Amino acid sequence: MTQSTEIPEPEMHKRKTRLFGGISLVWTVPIAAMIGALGLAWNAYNERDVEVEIQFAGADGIEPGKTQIKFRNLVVGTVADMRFSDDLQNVIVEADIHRNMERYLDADTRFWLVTAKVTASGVTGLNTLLSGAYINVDWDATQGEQARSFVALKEAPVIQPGAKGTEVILSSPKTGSVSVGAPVLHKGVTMGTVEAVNYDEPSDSVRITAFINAPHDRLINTGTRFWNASGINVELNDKGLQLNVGSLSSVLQGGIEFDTTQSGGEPITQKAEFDLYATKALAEDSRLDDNLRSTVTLSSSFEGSLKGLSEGSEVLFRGLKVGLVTNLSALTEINEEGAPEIRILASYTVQPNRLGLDDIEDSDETLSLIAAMVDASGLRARLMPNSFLSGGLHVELYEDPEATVATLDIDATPHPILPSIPTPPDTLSVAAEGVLDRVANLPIEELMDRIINLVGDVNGILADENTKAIPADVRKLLENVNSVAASEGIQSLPDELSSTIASVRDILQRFDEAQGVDNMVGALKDLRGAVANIATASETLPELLADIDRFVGKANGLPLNDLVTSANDVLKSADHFISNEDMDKIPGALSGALDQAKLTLEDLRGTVTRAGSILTDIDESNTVANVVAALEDVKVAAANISTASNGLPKLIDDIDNLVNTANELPLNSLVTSADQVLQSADDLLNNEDMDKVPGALAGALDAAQATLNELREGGAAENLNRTLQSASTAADNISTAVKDLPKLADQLEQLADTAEATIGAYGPKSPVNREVQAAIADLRKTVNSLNSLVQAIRRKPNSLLVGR
Amino acid sequence: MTRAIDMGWVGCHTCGTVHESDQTRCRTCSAQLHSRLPNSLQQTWAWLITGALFLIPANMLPLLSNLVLGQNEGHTIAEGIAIFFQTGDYFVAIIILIASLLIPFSKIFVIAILLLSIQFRWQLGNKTRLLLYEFVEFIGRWSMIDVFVVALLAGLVKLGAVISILPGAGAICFALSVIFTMIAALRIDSKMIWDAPPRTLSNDPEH
Repeated sequence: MTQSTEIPEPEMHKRKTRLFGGISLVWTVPIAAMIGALGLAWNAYNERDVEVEIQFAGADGIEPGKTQIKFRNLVVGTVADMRFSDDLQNVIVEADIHRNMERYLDADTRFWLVTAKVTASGVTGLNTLLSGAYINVDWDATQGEQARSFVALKEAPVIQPGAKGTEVILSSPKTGSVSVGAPVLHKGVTMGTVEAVNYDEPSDSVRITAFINAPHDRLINTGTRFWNASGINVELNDKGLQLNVGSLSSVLQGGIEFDTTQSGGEPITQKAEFDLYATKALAEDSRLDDNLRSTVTLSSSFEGSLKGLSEGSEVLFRGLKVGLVTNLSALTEINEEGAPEIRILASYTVQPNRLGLDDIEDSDETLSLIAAMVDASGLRARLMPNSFLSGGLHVELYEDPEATVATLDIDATPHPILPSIPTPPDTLSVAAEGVLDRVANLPIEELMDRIINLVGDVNGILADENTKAIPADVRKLLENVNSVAASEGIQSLPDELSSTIASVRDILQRFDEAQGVDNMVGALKDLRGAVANIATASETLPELLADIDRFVGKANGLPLNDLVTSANDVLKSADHFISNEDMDKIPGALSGALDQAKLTLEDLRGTVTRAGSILTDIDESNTVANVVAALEDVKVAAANISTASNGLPKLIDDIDNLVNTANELPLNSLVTSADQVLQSADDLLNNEDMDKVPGALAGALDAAQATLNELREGGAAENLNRTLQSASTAADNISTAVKDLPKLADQLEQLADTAEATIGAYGPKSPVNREVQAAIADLRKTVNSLNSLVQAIRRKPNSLLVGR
Repeated sequence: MTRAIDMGWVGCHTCGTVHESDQTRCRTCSAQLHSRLPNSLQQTWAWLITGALFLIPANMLPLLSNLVLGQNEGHTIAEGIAIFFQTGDYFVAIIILIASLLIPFSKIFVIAILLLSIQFRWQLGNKTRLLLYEFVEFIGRWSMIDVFVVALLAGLVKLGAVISILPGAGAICFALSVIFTMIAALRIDSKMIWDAPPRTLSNDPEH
């Protein structure tokens, strides 16, 4: 080292600028690298994956370190390792999920393996053939309780993760042929999918979870009905045989259809429960089942054969459907003789709301109602045949007033027992049997013998000479008839008849136009109105009387003497006038005229009586309508008159006013004027011409009398009478014609019966039906084979590719 | 042993021309004249540490990733060796083992030994040190073999979605590590090997 100190240091060493006391700048490089590395390490630590465990049934297609976990096709993790579960029943897949998804890892997270699948609805996951299977994960945005251990779904959920819509649960005693992935249709349009089909042990029913896609889920409310719409639908009814085949998918997988048959349903929540009906008809029928709270299930044991009674048979009450048979079961009981006895118990529902009894709140109320009916009106259950043709049975709730005393056994298990009565012997089938028996008992052979004899006799008659002569006689007879018919009198008969009818019609029409009845009614109305007005008017009479009284008082004060003198003169002149000879003749003429008038009136009365009978005839014919219309007119007219006569009180008021005015008048001058008038009258009476007046009056009365006579003798009333009689005959004819109507109705009825018999050929045992059943059976076999093929493909989709 | 510095001479580090020690610039190439490279030890240490740091991710991150049908598959150096070994390619496996694992690590190790021996004047023979230094010089050029392989593969195998090879982050780290250790090796002033080794000095009767 001593030597090294001797070494002259080159100057450039000193010129070198040094920072940090001899530490080189180069050190920043490793420091920066260190800082970067530490930062990366920290970052990696922070974002290290979350380890989860997913339990799978098998490890097919999963490779540690390679199989990815995807959410919406974005990789969110990788499978790290696999091992068996402790019981060797499952494979536990350890997977690393990216740290940023950690917060969503709650119990709702679902994992499932995605591989290529060939199903009836299509082929999915083809991309996994090349890239290998991957695990799909689905989670919702809500952050629930954290979980790290999961059980993978066996199958990919049918509903795509994140799909919006509503889930409904359909429960059904049978699934029909609905399988997972089957479409949910509405008017033929797919609006959802069947997500799951599960068996629910407590209720022994199938629960189908269906997902209705938004926005179609708006269509679902509490009034919605779902029914099984499997691909093939065979309908046999009076319109013939109908075969509807849906889409291939619905043939293979079945399908569910829905319709909102009721308006005013309430909105539903997620996982609302509905019933799945077997057919559309049942679903529509169930509209009445809304108030199921009041529904009760009853049982009855019936004697004899229950052949023809099945689940779904109807329960009728007075002909209305109130429920369905739900179950048939046997029951052993020890009878009175101590021997075991098997009885068949039929269970059935009773829905009082089907009768419109909507106010029944719950089943207890229904039961108490039925119990009361059993006690009071003898309500019993009995089996009745559906119809002669179909041969099925239904349960009828029958009110038998003569039934022996029984009660509703409410505490019986499983359902309350309604006592039953045997089927009455006069039911259709029994009656039919009786008819057949009677037919069988007919002495057909004797009848045949007799017919043979009869035919022999007829033969003999026909062979007789006299018989052979008959045609000639007949021909002669016909010729005679012909000649008679050809005679002019007979041939003109129709014309006469026709003209008569025309004149009758004329007269009737005229009668109608004359509105005789209307006028009478109108007159009566008038009268009543007038009387009413007079009554009203008479109320003001006292006032009027008072006024008159005052008037008279005033008059009393007048210089009446002069007036009386004038009057006297007038009276004298009048006396002279009256004492004229011709005046004596007037009473005689008047009397004659009155007699004539009386006779005319009597004739008129006869006519009116005839008219009355005619009117009754008319009543039976269609003219009544005219009369009614006429009466309407009358009413209007009467109303007018009534309105018009309403002015009467006013008139009386006016008179009142007039009298008042008169009261205030300068009566003196009036009296003077009156005096003058009376004097003028006196002059007039004293005139010579006045003497001739009575003679002229008598002449006029004579003329009136003659006219009345003519009127009576002219027979106008009699003509009217005859015509009216003809009208009456015509009405009778119409009445006879109407009597033929029932016959026509009978013929129509017969026609309907024939038609029914024809339709009966489609009955359950007809060859048509057998053929259809055989065809359906073949079809079902084919569908089953298809189904098993599809199942096989679904279980092992790779078998398509590998050939296993 | 007599050194140039003892004789008052200084050699140009760039062209090797010998000058008097009072000269500051090379007559031939005008480069600055140093008797010894300034801060040689410090700089070597700095680059060496950086190189060593980068060697860690180079071995932990995948060196290359092959994209087969959209599936990304990466392998680290160790994994690659294991794969070749398992498939029976022992020759390739050994080459990669040597070139990618043994050489870089031993290079860093050797440089570190050399620097330590100089700094703390360990009792190592000058010959040994020289051997070590020459080893580093010789081995350095082979270190990049991995990087070359990756670069070649990435350039050659590009078949779009079917198969393609991409350099991984490990390859970059490895390359950086090699570069930094090479710089470190360059910063060693070999003359320091003969600078006052105590044993040599004490054994040298001439001084």
